[in-house]
Amino acid sequence: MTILKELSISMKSVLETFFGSDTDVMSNRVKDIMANPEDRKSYLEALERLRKLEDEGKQGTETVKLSNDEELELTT
Amino acid sequence: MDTSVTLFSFAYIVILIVPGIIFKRFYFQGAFSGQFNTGLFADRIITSLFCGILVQIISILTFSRIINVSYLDWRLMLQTLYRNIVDNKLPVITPDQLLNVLFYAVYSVALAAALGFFLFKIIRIFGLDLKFPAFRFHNQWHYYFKGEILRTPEFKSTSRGRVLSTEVDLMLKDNDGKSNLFSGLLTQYTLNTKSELDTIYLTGASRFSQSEKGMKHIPGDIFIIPFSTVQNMNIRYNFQVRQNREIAKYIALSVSGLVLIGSLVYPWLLDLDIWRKIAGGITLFFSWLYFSILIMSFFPPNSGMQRLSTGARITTVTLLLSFAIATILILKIVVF
Repeated sequence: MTILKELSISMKSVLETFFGSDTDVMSNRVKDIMANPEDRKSYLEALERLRKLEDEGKQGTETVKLSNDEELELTT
Repeated sequence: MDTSVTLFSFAYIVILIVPGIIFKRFYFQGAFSGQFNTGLFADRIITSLFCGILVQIISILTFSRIINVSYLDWRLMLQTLYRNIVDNKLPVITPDQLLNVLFYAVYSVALAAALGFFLFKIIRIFGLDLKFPAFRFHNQWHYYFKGEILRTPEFKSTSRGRVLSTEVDLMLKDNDGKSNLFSGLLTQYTLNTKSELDTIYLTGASRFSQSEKGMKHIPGDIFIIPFSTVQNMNIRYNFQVRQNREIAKYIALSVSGLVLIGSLVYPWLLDLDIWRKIAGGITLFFSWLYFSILIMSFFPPNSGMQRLSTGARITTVTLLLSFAIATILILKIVVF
């Protein structure tokens, strides 16, 4: 990725943070996850496992590994 | 028709109501934009009038400073204008005065938009609408669906992390009077003109199957449910474990936001000609932008972003310094 592209992405992100309305129900992170079929599957499965834990009256965390190697730690 | 009454009505609408309406249009943003059109007509006029008066007070206090016209000059111009109107004469206005009046009209509208926009941002960034009911917006569904209701004093004890998404379980009634359970991730919702819930949009939807005695996935991308068919609803939030660095990021964002407001206001307070103020405002804005990019680059990147490379960081610092030096020279902060 060129420096110019990196800067334009960062610039867009900063401007969105301060000037975007950010009132959508779904967070941007989950929107990105839903747009990727693999990530979507992992996320929904992790939610399912958390729900089972909750049904058993337990508390716990589930880590979702995304396709860009990022990790998302979900909790009940 | 009485001329004074006509003039007063015209001035009342242009000077007070229009800036008030613009202020409210920019204040009610995103999920709360529907509030701009709701309520009794009389209530809307009164609140527009009140906002318009506030905008005009701030406009009057700041405008003279911007165009470097003294209070006495304004007073003299208004006195001459008033005397001519009372004597049924056409007021004599110089081209400069006319330009100032037109510029003031544009300025008060732009100021109304900026004040509305930034007031909304301040209330939302600092969560004032969650802490103080007086600031709360009419769209209660937003607070429930976004999980922000957990940050209000009533629900504080149940907060377990950052809400990433919201799942809903809906009990629907079909035409035969039978009930069925549907679940899914809440993607969007719409309200009707009375700010009541109208439609719910789900992704990854599933329904309860009698034959399988469990939930069955519904193939498709979006499942749309008219709220009129919903008997009751259960909301479940999906939490992400909060990291320590997020608090530091929130503080950095707040500081950056305050620097932005300062950057937008500061040039107009200086005793310089208007073109220097405009040019200085632009360079100051870009200085703030690169400053914010640099600060944010030290925190975990947002979704869709990657961490800035060393080359990009060096370029950001170079651009930041260039714009900062340009600002210092244009606004004559340091005289060489």
